[in-house]
Amino acid sequence: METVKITINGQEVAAPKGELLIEACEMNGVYLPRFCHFRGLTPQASCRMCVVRVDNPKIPKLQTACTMPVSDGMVVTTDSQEIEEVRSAMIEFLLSNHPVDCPVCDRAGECELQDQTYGFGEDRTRSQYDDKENFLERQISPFIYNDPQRCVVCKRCTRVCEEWMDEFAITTVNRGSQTLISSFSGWVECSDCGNCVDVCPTGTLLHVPYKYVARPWDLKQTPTVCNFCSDGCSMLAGSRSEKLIRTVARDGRGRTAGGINHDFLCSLGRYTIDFVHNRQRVDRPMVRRGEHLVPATWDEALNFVAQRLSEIKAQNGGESIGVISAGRLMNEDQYVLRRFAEETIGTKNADFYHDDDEVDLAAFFKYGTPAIATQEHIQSADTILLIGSDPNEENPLTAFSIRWAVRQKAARLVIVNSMPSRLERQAQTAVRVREGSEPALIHALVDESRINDAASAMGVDAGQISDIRRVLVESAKVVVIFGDELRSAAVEALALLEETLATPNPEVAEASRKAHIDALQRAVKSSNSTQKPSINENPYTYIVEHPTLEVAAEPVSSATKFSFVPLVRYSNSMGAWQMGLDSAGTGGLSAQAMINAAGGSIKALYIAGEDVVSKAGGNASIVRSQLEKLDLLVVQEMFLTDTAELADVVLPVTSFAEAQGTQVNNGSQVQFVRRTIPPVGQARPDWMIVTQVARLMGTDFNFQGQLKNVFKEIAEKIDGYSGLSHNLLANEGATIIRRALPDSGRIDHADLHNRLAMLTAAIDRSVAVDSSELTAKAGSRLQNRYPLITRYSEMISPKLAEESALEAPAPVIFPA
Amino acid sequence: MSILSNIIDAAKEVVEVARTTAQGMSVTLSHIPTRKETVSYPEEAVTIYRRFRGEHFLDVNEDGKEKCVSCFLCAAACPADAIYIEGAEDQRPYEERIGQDHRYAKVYQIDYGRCILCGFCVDACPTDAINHGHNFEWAVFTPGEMVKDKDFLLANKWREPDVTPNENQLHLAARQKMDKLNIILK
Repeated sequence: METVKITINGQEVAAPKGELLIEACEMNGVYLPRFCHFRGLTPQASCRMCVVRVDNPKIPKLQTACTMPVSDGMVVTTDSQEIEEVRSAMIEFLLSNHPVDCPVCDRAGECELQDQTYGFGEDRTRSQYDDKENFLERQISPFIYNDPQRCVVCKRCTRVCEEWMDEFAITTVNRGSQTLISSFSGWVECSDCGNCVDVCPTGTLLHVPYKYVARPWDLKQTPTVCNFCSDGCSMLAGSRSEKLIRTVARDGRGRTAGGINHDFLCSLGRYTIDFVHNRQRVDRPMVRRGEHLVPATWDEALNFVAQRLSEIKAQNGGESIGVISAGRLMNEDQYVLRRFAEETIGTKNADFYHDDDEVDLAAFFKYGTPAIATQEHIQSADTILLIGSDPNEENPLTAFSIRWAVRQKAARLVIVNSMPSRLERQAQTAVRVREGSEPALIHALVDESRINDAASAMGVDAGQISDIRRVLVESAKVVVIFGDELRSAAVEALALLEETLATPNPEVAEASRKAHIDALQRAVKSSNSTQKPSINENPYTYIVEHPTLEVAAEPVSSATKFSFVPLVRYSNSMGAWQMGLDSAGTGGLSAQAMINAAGGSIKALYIAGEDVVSKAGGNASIVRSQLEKLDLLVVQEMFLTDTAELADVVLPVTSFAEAQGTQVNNGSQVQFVRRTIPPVGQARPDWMIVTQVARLMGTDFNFQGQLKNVFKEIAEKIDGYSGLSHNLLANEGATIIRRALPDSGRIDHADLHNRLAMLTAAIDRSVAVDSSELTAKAGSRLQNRYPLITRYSEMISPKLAEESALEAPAPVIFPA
Repeated sequence: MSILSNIIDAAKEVVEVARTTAQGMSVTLSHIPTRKETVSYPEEAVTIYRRFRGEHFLDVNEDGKEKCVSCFLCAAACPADAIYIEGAEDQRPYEERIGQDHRYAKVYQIDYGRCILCGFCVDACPTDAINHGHNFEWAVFTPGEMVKDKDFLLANKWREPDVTPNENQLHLAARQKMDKLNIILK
């Protein structure tokens, strides 16, 4: 990375070229006060707190460091009598209309206005007057509480909503001292991500569930990892008196190093955590006596399970017992379950539950592990190809990273999708295809001669497909993000992209990128650049207006041109695969096959953490009748789900907040999950329960009840984990698991092409292409995606149910 | 010779003992007519001065609304970690709600097993909700009884005597008032 020399307060330091002065100062240990500046948002320069003196005869006035890029030989003074006076005057103006009701304000203690006043302000005010602007406090969404009088109009929240979430849900209304944060209707219609609240420097926007509940200095803050989608956001969980109170995003700097999500969290990570303390949690083991499940002691329950499993094993052999785990269980749980299946029971029938909603990992890893892109790779990609799926609704952090790449690095986004997605607004090329025809795209990409055939199968112009192909060939680094729409051969064929779409030479890629940026700049210049772009206008405007942002961080590159993000469904689906708990690896029956064989070859099922009945959807009654045929059904669960109600034994397990462990996200990064609160009731971690059952059945795994011993064994036995330990992961944060790259020699090209052709041929060409606009409310699919947990979250579930019933209050744009 | 000297020695000793006894008794006897400092507590009440830091009381404002807004500053200032608060929201209009603000303390507990009566909480309180009262008699049979809840601390205000400067035997007045209250409660 290119660096320049600048002088800060008489000391010569190095800074990355093009970096903003405020960030360069912070890198070198000089903190400049700020309200409106926030890393990852476009410069605003409205608070004038970061003013500095630049020694240059052409710049006679103080300059805002948040809009000034560093240049070689720059001499900067950040601390002088003059600057102090300006800062303290700014604070005095901000406080002149501030209510100073810190005792009842939830932000007190982590309020930037408080901190800056202590650091740079005066201890008395001269503006004692009675006619302060008075705005009423109000709730503006199910999760956001708004006190407009505390606002310093830094517009962080509106920029977050526009740039990170692309939702334009909140905005400023009125002018001058009357400026308010509001939405146009007075009621914020959005995906409820809550990021606007987190970036707010004052108590203007507050979380409704956290309102008046605790104080930040009272909370025990534990760095942990989100347990919902596969992005694996790092977060800080705040607990008080053994109760989980709130979660906030970790930004990966300072004390919370190792975070991957740049202060970003979605509505699930932020507002569903109260399921941990739901009263419906199973808090003690339950054993079926006759018709009913009745509470039992752990000894009774474990002995019962061990005895019945041993009996069934003795009568019908180990193969009659199946083990099913869930994608959200942590690595240690998956590993112990695998050993339990292999050694204690002696069955090959062990699988983590995944159906057609889950990415075909078996095909993806068939020839080895392809280069997997982390969030950083996405953010610094040249071109992003999104096939199927909608990260916006399924993996919000991935969508955030895509927008980051497009806005900050002028990445080209190519979307091939059968359903509407909000990301299409960021796309350079968005192709809407027939439902189920996404695999044909891969066929066209790996075999140029089949473009026409594939295009007709997808219901689009052949020209569009060859355009996509050309863009991919001309790009230096491509990140391919794909969801469950690609199956079997199409996923396998991703391994061929590297050779079929290789860039002829680096100059081609460079010229293509330059042409792309030039075109963007021309487009912005020709449009009316004095106005902010409206919603549907070109999102690139920001980057071209502020080209300095492009260089902010060192580009991250993988060794190969193509890297992939499989959008797996659960937080640890990838880890479950890596631990080998997959029927494709063990050679046994898949989870669905086990359920189908229930009563036949399968006599007993051991299900850890998966509600197979609800997951079956329309086939729930079939699955239920299948499970009823079993001689023994053991379920480890947090709640009495539809599956647990059929069980002979229900063993209560800990949630992510109560258990330790590691989990792997879709970027193949392993992260350490810390224990935030003690277990609720008599719940025990999954791995411990399985170990205890195994010991009663006569196999001692020799973990001595210590989780770190489980991970020590994982580090020894599992590919890619060597050298890792819990201590290391706790200190380092997210660590990439590297495994052997695919061996292209093992690919049978003719066979693969044949199967691709069959896939393309099998596409139903009578289906019409869905060209509708997005109509569903943002975030509603996301919140419905994890029904097992959101059902038990009292924060989210009533909102989902009553959302339509809520009446928006009258607009408060012009208060009296 | 030896017999005579023995007799003289014995006589001297008698005189010496008599003299020292008289000296000692003179100190003792000289104190008998003066005022006694020892208070035979608990039969007799001790003098409590106005600025004595005793058991806290939670104050209410002139409308009878609790002054506490649950800002947690007393708990933050407490060096002994004796105060536990749970805040809550009361969205009713001022006339109906129990606190002076929307924000009020749903739970407010002081553990007198931990409290060191330093008064930091009183200093920290931005609304003058918590004050030191004058009661110091909290002998109990179990440690749990040392934890006083919000209702008790609020009622403490009415158990307080009318404080005038340097009035002696304030505590007696306080106790009489408390006895009266207990009779009423019974």
